[in-house]
Amino acid sequence: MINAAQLLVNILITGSLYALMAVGLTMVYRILRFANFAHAELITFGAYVAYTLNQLGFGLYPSMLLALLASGALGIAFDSAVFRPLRNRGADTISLMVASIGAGLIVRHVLQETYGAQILSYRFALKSYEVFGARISQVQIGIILAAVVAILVFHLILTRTRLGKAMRATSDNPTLAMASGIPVDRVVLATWFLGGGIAGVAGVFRAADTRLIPTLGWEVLLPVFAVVLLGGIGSFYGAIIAAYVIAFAENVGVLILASLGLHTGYRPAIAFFILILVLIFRPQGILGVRLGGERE
Amino acid sequence: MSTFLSYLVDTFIFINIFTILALSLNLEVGVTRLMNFGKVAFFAIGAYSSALVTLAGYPFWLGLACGIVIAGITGFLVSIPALRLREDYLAIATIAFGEIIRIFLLNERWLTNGPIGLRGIPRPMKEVVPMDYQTFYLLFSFAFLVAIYLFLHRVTSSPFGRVLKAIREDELVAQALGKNTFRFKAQAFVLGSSIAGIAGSLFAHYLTFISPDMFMPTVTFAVWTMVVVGGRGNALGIVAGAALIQFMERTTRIMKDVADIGIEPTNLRMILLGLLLILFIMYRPQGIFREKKYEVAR
Repeated sequence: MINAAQLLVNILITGSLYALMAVGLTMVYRILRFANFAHAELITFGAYVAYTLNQLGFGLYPSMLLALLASGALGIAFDSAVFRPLRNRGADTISLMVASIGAGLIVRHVLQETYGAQILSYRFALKSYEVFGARISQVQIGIILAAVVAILVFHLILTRTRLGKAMRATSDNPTLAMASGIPVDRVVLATWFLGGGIAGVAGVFRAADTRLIPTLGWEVLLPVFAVVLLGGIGSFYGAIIAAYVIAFAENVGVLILASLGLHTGYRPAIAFFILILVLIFRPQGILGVRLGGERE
Repeated sequence: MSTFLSYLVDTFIFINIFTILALSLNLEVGVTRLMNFGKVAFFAIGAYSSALVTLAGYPFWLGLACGIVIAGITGFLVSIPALRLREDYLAIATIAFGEIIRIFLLNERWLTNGPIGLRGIPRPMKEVVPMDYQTFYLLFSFAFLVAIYLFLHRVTSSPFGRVLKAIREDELVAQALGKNTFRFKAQAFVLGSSIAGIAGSLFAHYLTFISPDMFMPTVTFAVWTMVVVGGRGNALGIVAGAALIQFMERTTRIMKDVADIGIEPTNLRMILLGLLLILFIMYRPQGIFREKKYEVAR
């Protein structure tokens, strides 16, 4: 049986990871209006970049910083090579989504070809601590702190900078934003870079906390979609709340499954069920608003 | 039979099975514009139902019938909430549904044997077939393909099919004409799911072994590639798309045995799938074969 402190720690870890992964997905979904399935590979790519750097002797945090830059750059590359040309051709939301599935498959399998399908792990020395009877590793403390820092930084960017203002305006109404002289193209690139970069960092954290495989990002993508939709597409604050809600549901849900005598292998299905329920009953999410002009 | 001939026959059996699956997706995606990304779930349900029934000692035809019915009922249950969703939500919800089915197959060991899968699935009419069994299965699966192709041709050119196409072009117009579009969409979805069940049954009885990891979302993506490459809405195009993708899949698999290609076949296949998806969406969104549309004289 798991104690309450450990349960809380586990919820914080899962939720923080989901929050880091969801930021980029929700912003891209809102601004560019499609479900980006290649987001999984922004997560995985960062983790593999950090692996190579780790092999070269870099420490955890320098590797992570470079993974941030690499995944951010991959996000921009995705947009320039695939999504901008498609936008210019007036592709609909499903076409963009299908293309993102294609882009994701390519990156995932290029990584698998380069690094192999086997399980890899970092060689970082990681201490573990005990707090109120809960075990928590250095990486896990890092995950929670990184989420707090990322949330604060993003909050400040969104509320205090011109870029943030432009991002909010663009996500509210891209056409109006463009008409008001906001450089929408630059906002889009900034969104890809920031969202991709944070996803890359989250990938490094997840790989350090569990293991590194080519499906690292794909495995968590649907739960992260659950976070994005529960939070309301494009809602940064909604995504953060939803990340911890889904983390709570998963961690407590497993206990409930076990006490009902059901297989705990159903853990991944918990987020999928929430995802489907949200889509059916509250597609605008907890903090999202139904916009008049939007197709529902 | 020579290895090469055996490879060809094997490839064509897979082409038959996956063309059936792609045609079922085309009914939903190409004809009706229902963005189903959970196709693999109905394929898996058909495969497991049919395998379990025949492993319990019942004949193939009963297994096939159960596969069709259970996949159809599941499709009906999914369609009630799902078809009210807007396109991108339907896509995400159906991917999640496909994963839930796979997790179910992984965890309900008493029924599905979990990750180990089901072995020794009986082959239909094994004892009575007077010819080489693989050649027989080629003809057997081809007969199913022809029957389903003709059936779907009739369906899509019937008044029912025209309503589906009207829903694809503009659901509001179809509603304004007094059509209960939800009902039509649900019927298309159930039909598509049942046909996917047939493909699943043929797949299970050919391989004689199935396990949950054969039913990953990548199967859905491969079938989507067939539809996108072939041309949404054009049944003949779908046959070409499915043949092309399956040929690619089988060939990359055996290429490893013939020559050193310097890349893992799975990776090569998935990278090619990804490239095809992006290139077709970008440069030829109508696919190889454009759908023939009715021209209305003005």
